[in-house]
Amino acid sequence: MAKRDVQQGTLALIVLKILEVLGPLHGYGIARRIEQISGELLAVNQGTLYPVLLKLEQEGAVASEWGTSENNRRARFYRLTAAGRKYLRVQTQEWAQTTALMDRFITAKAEDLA
Amino acid sequence: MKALRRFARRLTASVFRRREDDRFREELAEHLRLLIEDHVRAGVSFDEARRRASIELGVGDAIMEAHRDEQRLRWLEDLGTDLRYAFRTLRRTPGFTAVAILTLALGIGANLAIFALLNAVLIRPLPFRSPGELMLVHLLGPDRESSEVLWSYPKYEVARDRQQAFIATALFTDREWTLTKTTQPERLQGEVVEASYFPLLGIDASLGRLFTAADDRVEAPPVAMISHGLWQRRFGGQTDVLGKMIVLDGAALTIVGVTPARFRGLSGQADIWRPFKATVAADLTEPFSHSYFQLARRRPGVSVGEAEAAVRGLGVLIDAAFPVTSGVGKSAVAVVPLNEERIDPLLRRAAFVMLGAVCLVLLIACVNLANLTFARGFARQREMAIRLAIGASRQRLVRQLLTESLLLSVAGTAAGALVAMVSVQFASSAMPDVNNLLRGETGGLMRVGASMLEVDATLLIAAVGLAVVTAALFGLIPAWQAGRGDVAITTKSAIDGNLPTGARGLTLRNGLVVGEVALALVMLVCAGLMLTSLMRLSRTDLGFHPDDVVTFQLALPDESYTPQRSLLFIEELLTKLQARSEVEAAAFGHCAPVTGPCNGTRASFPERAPVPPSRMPIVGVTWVSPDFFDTLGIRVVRGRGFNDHDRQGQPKVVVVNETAAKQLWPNEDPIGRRIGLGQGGFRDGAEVIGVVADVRYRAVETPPGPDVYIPVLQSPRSAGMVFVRSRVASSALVPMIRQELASLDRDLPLIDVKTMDERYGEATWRTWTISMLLSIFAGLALLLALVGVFAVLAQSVAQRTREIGVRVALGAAPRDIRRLVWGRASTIAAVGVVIGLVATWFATRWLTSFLYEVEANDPTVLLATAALLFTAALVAGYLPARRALQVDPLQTMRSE
Repeated sequence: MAKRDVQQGTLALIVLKILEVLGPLHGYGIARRIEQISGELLAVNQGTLYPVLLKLEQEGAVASEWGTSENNRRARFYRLTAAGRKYLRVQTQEWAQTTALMDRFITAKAEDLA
Repeated sequence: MKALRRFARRLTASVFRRREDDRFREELAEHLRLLIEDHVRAGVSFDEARRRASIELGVGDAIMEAHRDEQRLRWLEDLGTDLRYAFRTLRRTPGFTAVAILTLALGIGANLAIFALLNAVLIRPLPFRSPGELMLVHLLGPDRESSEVLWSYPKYEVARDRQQAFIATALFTDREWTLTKTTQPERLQGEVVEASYFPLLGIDASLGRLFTAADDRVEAPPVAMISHGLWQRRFGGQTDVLGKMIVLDGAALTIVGVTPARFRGLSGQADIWRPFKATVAADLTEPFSHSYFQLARRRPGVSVGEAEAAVRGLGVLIDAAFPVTSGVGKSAVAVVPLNEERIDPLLRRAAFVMLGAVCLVLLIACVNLANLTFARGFARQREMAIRLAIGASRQRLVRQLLTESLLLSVAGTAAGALVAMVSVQFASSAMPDVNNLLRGETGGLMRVGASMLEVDATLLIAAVGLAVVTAALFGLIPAWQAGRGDVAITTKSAIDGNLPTGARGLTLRNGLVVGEVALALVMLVCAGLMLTSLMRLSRTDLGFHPDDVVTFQLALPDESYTPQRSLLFIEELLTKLQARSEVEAAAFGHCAPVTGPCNGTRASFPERAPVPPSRMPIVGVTWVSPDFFDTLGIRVVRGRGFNDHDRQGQPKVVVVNETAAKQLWPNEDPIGRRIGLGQGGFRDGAEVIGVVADVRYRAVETPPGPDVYIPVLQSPRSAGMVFVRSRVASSALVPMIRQELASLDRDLPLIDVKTMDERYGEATWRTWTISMLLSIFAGLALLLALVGVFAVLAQSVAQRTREIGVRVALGAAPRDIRRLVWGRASTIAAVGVVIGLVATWFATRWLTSFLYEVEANDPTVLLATAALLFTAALVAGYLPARRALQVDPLQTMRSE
């Protein structure tokens, strides 16, 4: 359970970041960008993206509306809301702190700890 | 915040069944299409592209399901489904549902009613500011034989200024006054209190003001505060009551304030309050006039233990300031939280015994329901098997069954609340506030009565708790049982229509019924013991005839009645009453039998060698008029009773009871002997002129001690009781008595008019109430247990129809078939009775303090109860046995 939560939280952060950088995207678009950036790491099971998007929408971090895809078909586009932007900022900061802290421990040498 | 928002969205989605499946399906389809197009662009064949795309996206249904779970609150919807299903299931079996709800209603109703009582007298905080800090400070006198806890003012002064544990203290006591100079004189209960009393309790005046330090002075102008009730009754709730005069026993007081509606003082019955120093000025310098309770509020942060330690040294200081001449011991000071003194300890115990009894009843009800649910469980094996087979999880099935139980218990609790309300209503009309009766020797400050019973948060929590606990008790085991077992076997046999009767299940059910019988036995024995006590109590020789005697209290105010005038008044009143044709006899006696302790004093014997005071025997003393023995029907055993010539100026005479004659003059004729008494001016001795039968004065239960009667004509009293033996219905006598009383003194109220039968009823109230309640509960327990026995027998007969048919076909006689059913009934009953007897041995210990002339393990009661239960179990087996006899062997064989 805890592991899934972490993964879900991470995925949510990635989704928000992509939406912030690239503007409104449909689900497939988000999945493609994740794939591009992460390589094969997150390529499996693109469908798992949707429950995360739903959760973010329920929390008010993203909003969605129907639009037209590049192939001229109806597609659902997700965009970042003001609340989402704030949430992303806070989360990014926390994440940076955490990684910086972890980094220090992982790169620590014997003399640092003596 | 975010989480809350999400929860709200999911909740609305669930409640309004809003689904966005279509939108999501469209989104997924588009996603898939875009994936395929990408693969095709990369040069893969369309079929291969579709295959890869599907893999990358994941299983459609699983994603849909995950999406749905995110969208809504799954557990809530499951609960909704379960509830709807449970409701439908219960409606399909109205018989079972009705029996279950009725059983629960009785069990829970009894519990709630008793809990309401317990809540009122023990749990609900006292209605004062920070009641946890309030204490009573007791002064334990040097003479430990008397359980005296009262203070005198000088001793209080010594103690008050020498401790740091309390931020405030107040002396108070309850008093009675007669409201005079009005058209309708009335006896009023009141309290004499220090000015600190009200602020200490956190009580404010609802009108006017409280007592100030200026009121609480010896020379202060006399003032009073009145209760809300008196204000409404006597002054019509008018605000101009402030400043009005009220006359108590001839003394005029100015009303300065009205207390809040529900406040009746710590005595629980006060209608009027008077300031301490102005009212009891004479006591301020009397170190040995021990008449006052001390109330105190602990300093915040001071624990009970610390307060105890703080007062420990005070006893020595008090003895140093006021040395005791007889010197038998030392004074001591003790503290008790006010909350512990709110109710007579015996009543507290009774309340817990009742709670135990109703808990047992509820337990039996739950066992019964578990049994019924089991039976249903077997009938529903097929349903469960099918549901398991098509993929329902066991957890889900158990939850479903528990939801059914919960629904039943909620309905049962609602019905139970109704039962509780009706029975409390009934009890309050049958039993008004009983404050006076419940003030035991050791205390009980609060008024106890039906008016205290009310629904509050504690009671509601108790109700909800009961619903959940009962559901768990009768639902868990059957649900657990239904949730286990091998799917394949159950499914196969269930679908074959060849239901396994479940030897295991039947064993468990037999066990449950045995438990029920055992519990019912415990209840029956307890009720039996109490009823025996009640019977012995009613057969007790009281020493007098209570029937047709009307009594009332006489309290002549000292201000206007000197001892001589009191005597004249009493004689005049008795003469007037005796002259009436409807009166057979009338007499004065300073206290009434069976209503509580009368005076006691030490007796001396002028004809014998003197002994130190501590070795003189203690005897009860009663002042009576000449016709007392005749009026109450007290037998004169030897010598003579008093007559009109035994008055002042004549030789002093006394009459003793048989116990006194036996104890004080063993092997000697007391007639003509002399006895001295510490009271009534009889210290120098009086001649014993007669011996009368023993009368129970203290309580019906208390065996009589040595009692001595003093003629009131030789030792005037201004207060006591008047006894009138009537030739007509006693209610017809009251107006006549009122009229005769008013003709002698218009300011005298007629107080406390009761027949001796009523007083007897009050004296036996506790035993009577406990007996009745326990009998009702035991009856319920018996009924429930019998239903349980019946259900198990009936089901076993139904399951063994084929076997019985075969037996009959092979030549079994009706006797053998009957034995089959009776045998099981008697086994259940026998095992239950044996277990029950063991349990009884532990349970009845709680009852010993309420029993009268019967041992907790009285063999007659035990045997009779066991026999009753055994017979009842056989009776419960009658119908199943008859059904077994009606089995037609041909029919059973044919259906094979």
